Amino acid sequence: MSKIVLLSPDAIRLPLLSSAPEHKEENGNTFNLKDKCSRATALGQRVEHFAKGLSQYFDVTVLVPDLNYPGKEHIDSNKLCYSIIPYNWFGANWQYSKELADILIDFDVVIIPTTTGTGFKNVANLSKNKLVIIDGWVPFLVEFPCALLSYNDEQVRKEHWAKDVPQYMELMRRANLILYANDAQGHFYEGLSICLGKLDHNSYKKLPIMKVPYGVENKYPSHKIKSDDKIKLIWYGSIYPWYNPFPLAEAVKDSKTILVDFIGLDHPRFKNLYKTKYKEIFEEYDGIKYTTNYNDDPSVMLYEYDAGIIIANDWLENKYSNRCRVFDMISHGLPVIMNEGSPLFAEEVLNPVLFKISSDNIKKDLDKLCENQENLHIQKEFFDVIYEELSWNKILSPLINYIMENTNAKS
Amino acid sequence: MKKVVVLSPSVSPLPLVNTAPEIIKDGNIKINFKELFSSITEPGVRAWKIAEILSADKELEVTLYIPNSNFPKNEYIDFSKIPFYIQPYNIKAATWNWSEELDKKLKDVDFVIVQTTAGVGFQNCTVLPGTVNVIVDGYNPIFAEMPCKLLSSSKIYRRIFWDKFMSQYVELLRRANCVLYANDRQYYYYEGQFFSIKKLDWKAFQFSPLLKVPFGINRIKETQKHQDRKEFSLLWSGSIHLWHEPEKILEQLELLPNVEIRFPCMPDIKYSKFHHNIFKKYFNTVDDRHNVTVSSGNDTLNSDLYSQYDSGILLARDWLEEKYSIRSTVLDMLSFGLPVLLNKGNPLFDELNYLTDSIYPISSNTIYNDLINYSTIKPCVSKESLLKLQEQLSWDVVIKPLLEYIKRF
Repeated sequence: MSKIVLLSPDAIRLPLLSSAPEHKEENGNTFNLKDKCSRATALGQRVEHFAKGLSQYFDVTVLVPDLNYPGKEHIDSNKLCYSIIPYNWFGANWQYSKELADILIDFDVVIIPTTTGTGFKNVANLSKNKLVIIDGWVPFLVEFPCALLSYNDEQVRKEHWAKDVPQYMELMRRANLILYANDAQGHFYEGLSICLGKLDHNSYKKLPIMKVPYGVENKYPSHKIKSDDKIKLIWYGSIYPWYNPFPLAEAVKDSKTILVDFIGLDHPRFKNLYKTKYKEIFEEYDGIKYTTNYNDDPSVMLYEYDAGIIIANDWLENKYSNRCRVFDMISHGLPVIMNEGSPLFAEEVLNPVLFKISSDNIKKDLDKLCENQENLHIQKEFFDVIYEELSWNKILSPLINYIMENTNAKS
Repeated sequence: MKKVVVLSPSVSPLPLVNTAPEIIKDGNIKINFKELFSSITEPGVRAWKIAEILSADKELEVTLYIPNSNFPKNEYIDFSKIPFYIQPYNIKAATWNWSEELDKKLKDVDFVIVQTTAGVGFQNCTVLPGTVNVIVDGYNPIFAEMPCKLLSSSKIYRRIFWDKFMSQYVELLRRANCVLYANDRQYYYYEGQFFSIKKLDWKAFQFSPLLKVPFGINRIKETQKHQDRKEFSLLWSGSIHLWHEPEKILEQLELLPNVEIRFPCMPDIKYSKFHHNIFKKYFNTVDDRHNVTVSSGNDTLNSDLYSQYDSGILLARDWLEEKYSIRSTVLDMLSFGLPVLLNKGNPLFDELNYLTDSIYPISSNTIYNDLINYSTIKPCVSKESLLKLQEQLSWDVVIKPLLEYIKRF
């Protein structure tokens, strides 16, 4: 059986034993164990879904950053259908790691997301007998400039770019297959691949890229819990530099018909981001509910809302974004309101459950959309189609076939 | 006044005087005068229309440079019908080479618009001083098409040509102040290229130097009424290239006697052996298939021709070229009210999603059923759709963003 390894650059939702301690010590600091090891953001969640889906056919191992590994004795392994191995995250981040190289030797297929620089150097230098699959669902080159905005010093941003992007390019050259999540990304990777020299005059038929969208799970509520006459919208999830929640807060702060709650604004691990950039601003808004804590099971909470809402800056990042939280909300039967520019509006299957407003006219567009409560009431049948078309099993099947055809795992 | 140069890599639709000859001789060879100096080609039309629309603005002095091999004597040109300046340039000297002649013409202008086809002007535009705003017209995404064009060449030639083409093209892209694209897919495709060649970097998180200028259509005042026919009559849209797949249609037509098709404008001289190979199987002088017509390269694609058919049709191979194609002849047909059957998934289905009755999806796997289906329902283009098409795609509308860009400086 082919051995597949998934390199997670971040925490996955490791199931912890009830006996696991509440805190973890690290470099003299104390952290909440769940925050560190069991509260995944989009990066980790995608890896998990991949691991679950692929483990039905292959021997799958997930490499988890040592920072996010609680210790074997604290993991409820019975709840996992794949193996877990920790790796030295700092050692593999933007640099070659001997430890990681030794781990990867044992695997036939390596799947690596293109975020955070973790494992780039190692995987780019893997021998040709290994199948390297890049998961480019977060397009690194358009997100990285936004992430670098967290450095106030332009010189620092420039240096990071100069040092880190060549590693990314090297990784892309090595890839046997590049995964993407929406059509905009697919076209981007085609353009990138050609100029990287990965494709040439022989590449007129098919390119080594494959669409694997972000999946959904059927968590449609058996009944809605609604305790308010107002239209209730939820902003759900951490705020990153490319988001822009404040015009939304401004637009609804005095609304008598629309309520927007901002939930789970803090990253479970990078708590400085919210604290330094957003906390003070949110505290200015009287009457707007906001919370920072991560929701381990958001289901009951989500069922209280009419729709989700996300406003992003009209930057390059938005044009390629594939926001996991959108799929999470759809999984829970919520339609989602977004500003223009998102490539998800071009995904036909999602048409019935996505609503577009203009970031220049949030108040006006929201008032119009919400003037009739029925506008946001989407028939369950539409969600059922999405659950069918975007189920993880379905979207992973081309990847499974590809791996089977390209390794010795033919049944 | 701002000086704008539009560099055409191809013959342009030059208006000729009535006294222009029909045929000219080059040694023993007879050449159709109009074909050489005044025919319709996609790059030529694009360059012409850009020059025409821009020249309507009094702040701009526009010159269209036409290849010297396609520039007749002045006495044959009807200058009264041309609202901008035209000049010949030595195309051989400027293709894949730096041309001193072209350099002299370009270095003192304010804007140069150069297409990414055929390597014309690449080297010259790359080294223009920073005072010249270089606008690269990438409406035809050359990376997708070039590998297909090279298929008929030897492996070694393809390798050498590709390396030369890549290096000059990338340098041109780097130099460009602005790059034009024609459909939304091309936008992402170019942005991927820009990051790869370091044209975009850590500063590029808000916008990139791309401007959408689709391939346009002429405003048609009247459309011809189509004649009623018993058969379902199809007109192949334009020439046939290596990336097209007409043989799939021909195979099915043997089983569909009530469907007929005409292939006009054959053969494209570069690929005559290729065309011969496609049609030889289906034609010989003894056994003409009654439902397939192949006509010569003198056909004029216009409303007279279109009015004789129920629908246009174009089937391409499922290659990269199809994914980013613009299909200007399809647009031309639509502008005259002729619906077109086209590869399912072609970008036009996204670009023209405001029309419900103009383009209809087909595929090589389902072509038999597609033809039966459409022969029954007989597609048509409503007046409302035609109006919407003109509102969105008339040349003056699509070139407006380019004009606004130029006027910003």
